[in-house]
Amino acid sequence: MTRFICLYIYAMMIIILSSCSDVEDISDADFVSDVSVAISLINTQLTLDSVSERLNGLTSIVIAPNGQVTIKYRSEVIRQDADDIFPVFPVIIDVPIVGPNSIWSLESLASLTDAFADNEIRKAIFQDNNVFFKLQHASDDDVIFTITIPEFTLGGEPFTRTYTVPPRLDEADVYNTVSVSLDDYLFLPVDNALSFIYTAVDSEGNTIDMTATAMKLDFLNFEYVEGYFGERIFDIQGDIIEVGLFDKWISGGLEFEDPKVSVRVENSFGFPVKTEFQKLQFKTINGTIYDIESGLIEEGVAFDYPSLDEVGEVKETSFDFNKSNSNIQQIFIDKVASVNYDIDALANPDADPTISGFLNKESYFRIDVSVDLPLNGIVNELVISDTLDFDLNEVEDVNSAEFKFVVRNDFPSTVNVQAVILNAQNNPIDVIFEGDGIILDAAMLGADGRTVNGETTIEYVNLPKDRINTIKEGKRIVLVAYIDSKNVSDDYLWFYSDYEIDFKLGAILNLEN
Amino acid sequence: MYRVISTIIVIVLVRFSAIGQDISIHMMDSVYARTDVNPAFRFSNNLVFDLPGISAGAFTNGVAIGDLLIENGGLNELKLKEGMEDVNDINYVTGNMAVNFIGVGLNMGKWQLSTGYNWYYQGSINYTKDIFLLAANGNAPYIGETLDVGPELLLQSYHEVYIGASYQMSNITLGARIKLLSGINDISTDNASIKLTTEEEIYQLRVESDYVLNTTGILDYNGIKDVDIDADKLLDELFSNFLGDNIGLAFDFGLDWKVNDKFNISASILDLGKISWNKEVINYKSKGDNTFEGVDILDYIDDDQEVVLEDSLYNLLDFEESNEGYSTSVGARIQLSTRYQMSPKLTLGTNYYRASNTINSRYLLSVNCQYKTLPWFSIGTGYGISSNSPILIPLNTMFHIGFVDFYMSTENILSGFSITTTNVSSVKVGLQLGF
Repeated sequence: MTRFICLYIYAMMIIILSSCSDVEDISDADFVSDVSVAISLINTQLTLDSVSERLNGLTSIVIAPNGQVTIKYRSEVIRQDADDIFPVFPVIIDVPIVGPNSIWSLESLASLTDAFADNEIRKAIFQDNNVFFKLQHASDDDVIFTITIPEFTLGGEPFTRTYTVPPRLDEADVYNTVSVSLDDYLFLPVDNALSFIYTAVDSEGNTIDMTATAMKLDFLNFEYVEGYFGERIFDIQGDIIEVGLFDKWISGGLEFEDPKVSVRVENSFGFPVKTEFQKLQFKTINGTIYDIESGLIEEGVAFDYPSLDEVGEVKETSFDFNKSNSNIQQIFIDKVASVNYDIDALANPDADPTISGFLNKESYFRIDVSVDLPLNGIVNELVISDTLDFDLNEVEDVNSAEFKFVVRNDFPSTVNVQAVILNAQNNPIDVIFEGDGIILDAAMLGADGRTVNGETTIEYVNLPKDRINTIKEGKRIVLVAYIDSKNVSDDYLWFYSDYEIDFKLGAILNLEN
Repeated sequence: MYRVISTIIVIVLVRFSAIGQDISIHMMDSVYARTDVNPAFRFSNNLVFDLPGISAGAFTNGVAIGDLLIENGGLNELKLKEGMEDVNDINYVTGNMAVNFIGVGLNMGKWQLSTGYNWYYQGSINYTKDIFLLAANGNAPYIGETLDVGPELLLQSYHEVYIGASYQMSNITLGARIKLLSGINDISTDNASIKLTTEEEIYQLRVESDYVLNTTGILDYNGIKDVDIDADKLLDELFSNFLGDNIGLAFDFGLDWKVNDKFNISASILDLGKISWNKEVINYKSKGDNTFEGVDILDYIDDDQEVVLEDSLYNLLDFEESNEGYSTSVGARIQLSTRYQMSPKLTLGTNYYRASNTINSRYLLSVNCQYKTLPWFSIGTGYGISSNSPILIPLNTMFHIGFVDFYMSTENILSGFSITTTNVSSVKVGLQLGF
């Protein structure tokens, strides 16, 4: 009996202690929480300076040393190199050498390409050219043929070559000499012509008449050319500059004090060139097209160019169409969406053949056209809007939320922002901010014309569960901003690079799972 | 973070349920296992084989995790808010387990010698009240405040081979043990300071950290959201790495003073030593001040990349990895006890016991009685308090048949009803052969 009692006690202890297995209940349990998480979402100090650092592509922000800001819209830079204007040209004709002393006019090259029309080459240096001669005689003996081209010199010595031409086999037999490189040969034509001097003798020293003689160049290619290149037009083409400033415009005005179309030309061709605008048109957001009116269009603008003493230098010419030389300011009041231009370059516009210019392989035009909008303007009840896709369906477990906006505006313009949620049928289902939206009061101007720090606005948006459920049905969000500077000043106001919109957003999310 | 912590707590409790078996073992005459708490304690047989036994325990001074369990529609739900009132400033959850594979004792008159092999696991996590509140409520109620959210952690297993000796000098017995330790795996914190501040303006989050987490390859950290603790390695590699890497040494010292024929006073200090960890070591270190102030929209101008807040938040606690060896103490223990022989069958006693590991410590105080009902059976109980429980009712029994002794003890019989709703749970079961 006693042993039975003892065993019973043991059994009880084991049973009791085995109940410790209830820890399995813990590992199998669902973790249930209803926590409130406070988190910062957005913290951005938006200045035009900071934006400019991050912009790439064709839109940029230029900041003057005094901090004044200009938005610059560009097109792709246009560049034309020497090879585009004077292309390397394969010579498909033989240069005839008629008699022991003959002259060949370079004007004949004009028949090869327009690039040589009206040209007068006064000095050139060959590059990547080879020359050989096509020789024919009637002798049954070897003929010693020696030719000199005085206009081709290397180190002051004229080009001279001697060839042994084998006996003729038949009447059609033409002997081609080996090719000789003309690299680095200086070409100094006299009276725009090339002269050939040759002798032809047999083994006994008797002069032989050549029945046919010609020079063959593989390419016309010069490292450097000096002379007169004629009055000619280089078709530089054009482009369209997109001005995105008014893409989101709804209503109101934005007036710039001095909008510009700027043209900046780099030129390393050594001859006079002048612009010829084929087109400079402005298309507004309503589709109206304006041609600019400016004396620069009719008169053209001469590019600066390097002189013969400045070979290799790049000269820069800048000019712009502005309110003082055009009607651009009036055009921009109609909110320009794009600028379409087409520029040609007129070489030697005075057609003066006494001007000696040059070009070399590195010569180029580079033309950079931009629309410059110095942010010195008047914002008059401007309303802009943007619509973005919106999907909160992935936000789960949020029972309710409170958003806290902390905003400070240093710009001299009042900004009201409202956000409207649209459902799949584009019907508004919720307006995020009460009343006119979150209002960023304009910063006031100081004595120096700059604003002093603006006031901080704090705004709360509460989203209880039913409102969150409504917003989750949204597919798009329309952001509308109303901007006005007239409550600060009726005059044009500069925007400076250090003006800041300090935008901070935090949220308390009440979660449940 | 709180999910990681709660996972660790569950690992500690589920895998290893208890220690504290030492509240009354000093009362169990002739049990070889008594030498575990005082190497000066003597066994009565000339030759003793301590056969495989197990002891385990779990303690917490904070919320009993079972109190967080709510049954809802037949499913168990773990709701931290249920424990808000019970949470302390600093809370610990500790689980220990020891497997005594073999012990051999030899009685040589005044000398007694012992040797054996044991396997130990200890797991512990310290969490602050702030961690609990953060997990239960989120950070929104604490805007403008700084919360201390750095948990201290210890998960460790190791082998132990010991040689001990005791010598009886008239009425005083002195004993000592030297233990060769061989670490299996370890996760432990060194510095454990993580402070989270939620700013008032727009709830910017700032984390100041000085946190070092050392591991031996059982924790894989790939960001705060992706922490994988391979706790199975603590147990599954039970026989791995024996006397390989991670070697340590520890000592036990004890004294048993027989004041007179009926009264004994004993004292011991145990586990003075450490393990040097050098196998597959990874140190995760975070030191610095990181702030998440929100996303800067400008960073996404002309950029198609998606705005992801989550990544920025996880980067608040940024760990650097290194592979430097480290050492941990195995946790010192102290025991002071008395025994008074009231009659041949009844013994009374007292016990003070303090156990520490690298991140927390616990003491208990008890009065005990042991009653030998029959020559082959005795039972003991008593009353105790501990640093995490105002009431402990220990229970032990010994069953002696021939040369076989079977014993079982628990530190708190009350915990038998539910380990998860009490603060102390323990059990020790053993078998020995005495000749």
